[in-house]
Amino acid sequence: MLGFGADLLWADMNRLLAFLFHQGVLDEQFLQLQQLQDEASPNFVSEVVNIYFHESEKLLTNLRGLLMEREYKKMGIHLNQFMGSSSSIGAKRVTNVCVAFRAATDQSNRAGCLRALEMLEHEYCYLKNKLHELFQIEQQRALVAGVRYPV
Amino acid sequence: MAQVSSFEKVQYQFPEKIRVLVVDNNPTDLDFIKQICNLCNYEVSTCTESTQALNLVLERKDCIDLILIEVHMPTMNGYEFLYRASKEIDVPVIVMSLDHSNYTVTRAVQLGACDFWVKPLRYYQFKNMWTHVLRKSLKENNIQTKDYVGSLEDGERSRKRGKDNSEFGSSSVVRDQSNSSSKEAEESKHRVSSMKKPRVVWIAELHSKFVNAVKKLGLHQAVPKRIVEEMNVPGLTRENVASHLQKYRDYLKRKSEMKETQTQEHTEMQLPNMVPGTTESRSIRTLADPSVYGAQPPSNANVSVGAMQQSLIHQQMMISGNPASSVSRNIDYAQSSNPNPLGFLQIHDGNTLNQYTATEASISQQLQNSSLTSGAASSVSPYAYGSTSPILSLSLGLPNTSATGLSNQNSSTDVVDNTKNEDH
Repeated sequence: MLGFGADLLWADMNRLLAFLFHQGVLDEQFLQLQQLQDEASPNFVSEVVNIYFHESEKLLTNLRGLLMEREYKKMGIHLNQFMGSSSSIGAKRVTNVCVAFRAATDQSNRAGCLRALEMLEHEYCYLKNKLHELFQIEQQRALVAGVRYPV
Repeated sequence: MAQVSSFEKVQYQFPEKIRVLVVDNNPTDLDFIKQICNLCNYEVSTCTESTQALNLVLERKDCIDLILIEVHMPTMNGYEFLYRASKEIDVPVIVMSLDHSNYTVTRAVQLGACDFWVKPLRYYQFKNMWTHVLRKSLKENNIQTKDYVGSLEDGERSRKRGKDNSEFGSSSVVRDQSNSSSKEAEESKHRVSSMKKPRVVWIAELHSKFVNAVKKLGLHQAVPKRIVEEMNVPGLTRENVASHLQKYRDYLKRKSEMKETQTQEHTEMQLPNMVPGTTESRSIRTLADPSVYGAQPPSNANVSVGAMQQSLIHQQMMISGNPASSVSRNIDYAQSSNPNPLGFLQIHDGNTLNQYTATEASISQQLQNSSLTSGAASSVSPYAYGSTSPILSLSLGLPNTSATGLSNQNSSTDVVDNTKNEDH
């Protein structure tokens, strides 16, 4: 019975992952992260991703502030960082928006930057929600699997 | 015998427990890298600032085996760190960044980086990075296959070295090398420098002597040994002449074929040789003489495609790196009175291959992706060769900043597409 639950959860997780890959939200880099996670490093993914969330929120707030002040160069620098970390965890769509955003800052295009920032915030939120969902399923699966052993 | 055992010792020291210093102001990346290094069993220390890292490294010079550093950082960027660190210490430094434009990579290599990694980073890169430390220690230990059949004298010197090496505990080879007595250190340095092949610069005079010798012997009878004798230049070895002769022959062939064909044809470029690691592609790399041999892009060429032609053009494409902006110079070997292009002709030694191995996967990828037609050489974006020939751009002095621009354009269209497909 417990094993059955774990399998269902595993299927859920895979379905979600497949969906995210298909949508281009995540790419193989994320897959690599998952593959590197094992008994030796059980929290690999969640640790990196949590740091990513933490930093990204700061970056987004900064970006909004800088845009108000029309500090395009500084925005470019922040965006480089955002791009770097997003690509390191495999957040493909977020990275792509950053690239477009960066192009807009290079041209000091305020309207373009505004649009890009909104899109970025949107994509980032979506990613965050989906990844939270993924981690929840993971946790549940770990719980279910964990209960099995003492029995 | 001690010689063999020291080599084995070197082998078995790695890859466990090399000490890596990672410098990156991006916390996500830093954590990512740290975790992977732990997975690979390296001892990793991290810094978010170059100044911090520099102090750490300079304070205790022997405490780090390898440094990984991001190029673009706010307070002190990777270049500056590289410049300062390479003056003081002799540790392999790998530079990494999201930005992999020609200019960035070239600059890094110019400043002494032993490798350049493009972000996002992959596990296999970390898996293999100990090779940089190994290479350095092998160089210092002067352990080469040659030594196994070396003279008695060589054997004695190495045996003496072997004794020192046997003092290792669990410490790495590199660390002990630097701890060894100054006398040994001097000796090893001397040996390292004498082991390196000196570069031969084929200046105009030398080349004209070469051409005369070849003419005298007749092109088909011209063997390197006899050419050397004819030229009678002290210090010129048969090997130098041999490689130069090969290039010369290729040049002549190219020239005669260009003269034959009149019309410009569109050709599909076959790139059969771009398999990473094959000997042929390696030899192409060593022909990567920037200024002279490859300087004529085939867009000027009225070339018909033959198999030999393809590989020659292919070489040129590899070599020119930035075909769009290369000057079509008429290099006339027959006239040795043309000093300019020959002035900076150089034969690169084996060390340049290191850059190639690092990027060969991406090269083959990019070259396979781009189908090249002749006349399209000038329209082939320099970015396609973005990862190749850092040495090249160096010699040509060409910063190539269009790379990131191009990728930006591509990606922004992706964004548009994605928003159309969104269904959440």
